[in-house]
Amino acid sequence: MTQFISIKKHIKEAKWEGIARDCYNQFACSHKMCRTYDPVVLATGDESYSAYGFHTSVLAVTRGLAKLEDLLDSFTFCLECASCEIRCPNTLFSGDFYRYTTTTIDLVRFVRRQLYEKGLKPRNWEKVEASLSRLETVKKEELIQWSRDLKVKRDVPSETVLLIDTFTATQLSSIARDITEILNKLGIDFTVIEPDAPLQQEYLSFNVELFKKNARNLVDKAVKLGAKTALIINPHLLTLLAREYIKYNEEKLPFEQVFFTDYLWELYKKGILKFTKEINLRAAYHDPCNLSKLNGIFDSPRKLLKSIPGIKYVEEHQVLQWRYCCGFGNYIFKNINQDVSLRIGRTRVENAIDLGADALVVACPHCMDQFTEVIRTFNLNIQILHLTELILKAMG
Amino acid sequence: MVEKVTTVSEYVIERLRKIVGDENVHVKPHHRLLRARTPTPFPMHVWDQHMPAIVVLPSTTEEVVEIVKLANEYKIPIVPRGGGTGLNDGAVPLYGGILVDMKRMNKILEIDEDNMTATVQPGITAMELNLVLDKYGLWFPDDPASYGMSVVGGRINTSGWSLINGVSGHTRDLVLNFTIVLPTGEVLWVGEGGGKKIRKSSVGYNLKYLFFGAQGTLGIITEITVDLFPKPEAELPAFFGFRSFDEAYKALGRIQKIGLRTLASVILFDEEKVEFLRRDDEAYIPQPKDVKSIIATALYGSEVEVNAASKKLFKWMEESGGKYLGEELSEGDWASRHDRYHIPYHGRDGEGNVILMSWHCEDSGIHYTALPYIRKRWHEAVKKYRDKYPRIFDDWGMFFYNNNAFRPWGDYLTEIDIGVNEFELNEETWNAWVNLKREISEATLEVGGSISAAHGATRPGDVELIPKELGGQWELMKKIKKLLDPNNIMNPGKYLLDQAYR
Amino acid sequence: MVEDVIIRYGRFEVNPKRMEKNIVKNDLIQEIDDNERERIIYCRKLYLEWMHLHFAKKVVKPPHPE
Repeated sequence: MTQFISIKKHIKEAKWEGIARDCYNQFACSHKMCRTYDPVVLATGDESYSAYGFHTSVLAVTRGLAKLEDLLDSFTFCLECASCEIRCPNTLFSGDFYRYTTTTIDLVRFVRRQLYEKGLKPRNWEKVEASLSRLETVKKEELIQWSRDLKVKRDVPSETVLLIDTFTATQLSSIARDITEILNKLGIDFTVIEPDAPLQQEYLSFNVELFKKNARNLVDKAVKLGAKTALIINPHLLTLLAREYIKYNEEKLPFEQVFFTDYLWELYKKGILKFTKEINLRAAYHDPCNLSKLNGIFDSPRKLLKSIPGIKYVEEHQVLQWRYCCGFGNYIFKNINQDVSLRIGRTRVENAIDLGADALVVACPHCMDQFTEVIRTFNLNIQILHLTELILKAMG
Repeated sequence: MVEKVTTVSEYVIERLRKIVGDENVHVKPHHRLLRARTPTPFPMHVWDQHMPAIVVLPSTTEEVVEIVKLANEYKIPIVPRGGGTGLNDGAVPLYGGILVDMKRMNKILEIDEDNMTATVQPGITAMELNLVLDKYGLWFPDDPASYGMSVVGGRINTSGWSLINGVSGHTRDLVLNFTIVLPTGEVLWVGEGGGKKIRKSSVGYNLKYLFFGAQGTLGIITEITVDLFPKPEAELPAFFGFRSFDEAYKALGRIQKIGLRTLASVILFDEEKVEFLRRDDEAYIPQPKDVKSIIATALYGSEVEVNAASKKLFKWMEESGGKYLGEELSEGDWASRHDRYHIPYHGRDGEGNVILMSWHCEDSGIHYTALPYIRKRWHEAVKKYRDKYPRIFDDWGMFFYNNNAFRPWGDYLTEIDIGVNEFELNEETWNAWVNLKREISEATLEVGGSISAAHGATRPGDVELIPKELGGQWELMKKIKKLLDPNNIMNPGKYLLDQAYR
Repeated sequence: MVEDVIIRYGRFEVNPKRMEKNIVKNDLIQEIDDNERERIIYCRKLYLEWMHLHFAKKVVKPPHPE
């Protein structure tokens, strides 16, 4: 899987006239399909937080009818989930016809940067800083703790590198451990890389230089070790490398990235990965926004799950899943709009329960973290399991 | 006389905050500017003149009652807003005031499988309802172009039109009863007589239909009971090409009389529409050059009925000169029926270059025999304004849709799609636009049609002709409006109803 | 006015010449690559398939084969 290129010059170069016309496109459309699939609007009933809402707000500023400062709180309500981007008929029906798509996420980040540059921070910003700081102040020993008793290679050249992001390494290390064990059992030769400094999507909302620096660091590290393929387990990291790196660092990635589900599915098809143990479970699968909507990977996680013997897969059409999100989004949304965040997650979990699932299977560490908090907060009777855990178990 | 209210006092804001909660009151301009328009060409150059003073998002009937009482107390106009997807300006504030956004009231209150009803709050979309009903094998078949975005309360207030009305009627055929907060704050339950799950009663005046198409001028609906259908077993969309509009028009006349109960939708695309599709339709699939006009049909029902009906339909069409255009086009185009013309790149300037133009669809109810004349008049009208302002207007062709619930004959929702370069509108071109609309509506009245079959007619260009179209009915409308809304606070200025207070 | 769209990369597009004057000059066009296009087309196919299933249990075949 190589990179997605979807770049608007006027956002990249902060040209307000182009931005005004671009925002006008959404305002003039005003049919609001974006709203239909927007998890925030579905949870709040408030169209101000739809793609249409964000674009119109910016248009109002360009017309002198609103001040940029007014947008400060509203623009914390973007999950950066890309539901609106994929569902908008501008994208879905015209994207390949007029070569124009809806790019709400880029606009939202642009506005947040503009506000930050003016010294304006939304309410509860210190919580956002705290979450990021927790990742930024991780010491090397803590970063690699997750693999203490596992057979891993580090700083050793390999064509395949396993990228473990800072969050997974320090806060959801079971996933890192599981994937390592899976690869080891399959006899795959790989080297592990953790970033020296975390690569976070939140930086794109207030500190692009930090993003570029940390991205460059990570990429250089992989290149130095001879990486041809980077194996990724956090869909947020996948998005940052597959979509955002080229936008901000202005160069293509010097290696291929592949998400672990695509990688393992190929091995399964070749008969290298085999499932010998049965797992008896009625399981629903949750499409992580960063894997499905943002990177178009729907099939491999489902195929893997369905191939595990004993799994009774609870079917739900992929298009309906565009309406869901675990509710995490990013640390800005999560920390500032905690109540809405949990409500969004709850909707998704309750739907899985309604469908009769015993477990909701996820493929993203943030979904795992968020859903675990949701079932605890609302006392919901369902298991949250990461796909790597099931795969490892089924391998026997 | 109601006055325009562009700002409300701190005291009023506080009271509204107490009624609905802090986070459900929006004072900042961008929240209000967002809710100033609906998807029709909008006078961008005077955007702020249509801002409400404040936005509130209630979640219960009681909250709505408090808001309405407050509005009466301080004589502040109210504009109810559902989906905000209406194709005339029902939800556009003309007097500022309190914009009541109903979309937080989006719950399903009851599904009664045995009596085939669902009771819902007004802010729910048909799509959200159907996603739940699907689990029961049931269906709420209200299918407008805004399916998924328009909400049931708004569908009542615009007297919504459904694409598949041939099998399941329009919104007015699908609503049993509702609760409405009248402009005085009084709560009224309206239905068929007093029957809670009754579809047809002969008891008392049938007041239900009074509120259909009221455009929010007679109150705010807070609860609705709707009729349900079993989810259809089978669907068959089938598009047929014709060598000319005349040929297709004649075929349309014949189809009316086939007598197929599963024929949900019949849509005639005229020659200008097919030319537009060849040029600017992203669902485009190349058709042979001799396809100049199209009739699109869709069948819904049980599999046995649809299969039998399709044989007769195809035979009938082919005998009338229609050529089946294939599964890919038929299925793809039908499935994308709600997703057209959103991005404003479909317009062309006088030299044929793509230019930002927003879609406007002008609709009228026209009976079958008047269709060719109306087609000629409407295209002529648009051409006149396009020739004068080639960067501002574009003709995207016409559709003619079956309009007569449960039977595909008689009259047609006749639509002309016009591209309007909203971004570059000024006072002169805005007035030209209003004049164009008026000419279109005048042609409708000339043939004895109705200015709007589906959208409503509250916009400038249409609304001045309301007394002419309705005659004595408009006189009665004014009396009813004044009776129910003594202070003229409920969506004032619509349908020239301010004149009731002079 | 009648004109044909063009086929580029196997898909339909508005003739880029027609986009020059009012769209490209105002930076309203966007850089999109093949991967993005493929993603759009894949998602559109999914959506159209779902639209049929949402309204009826199945789509039946026309009476005559094409």
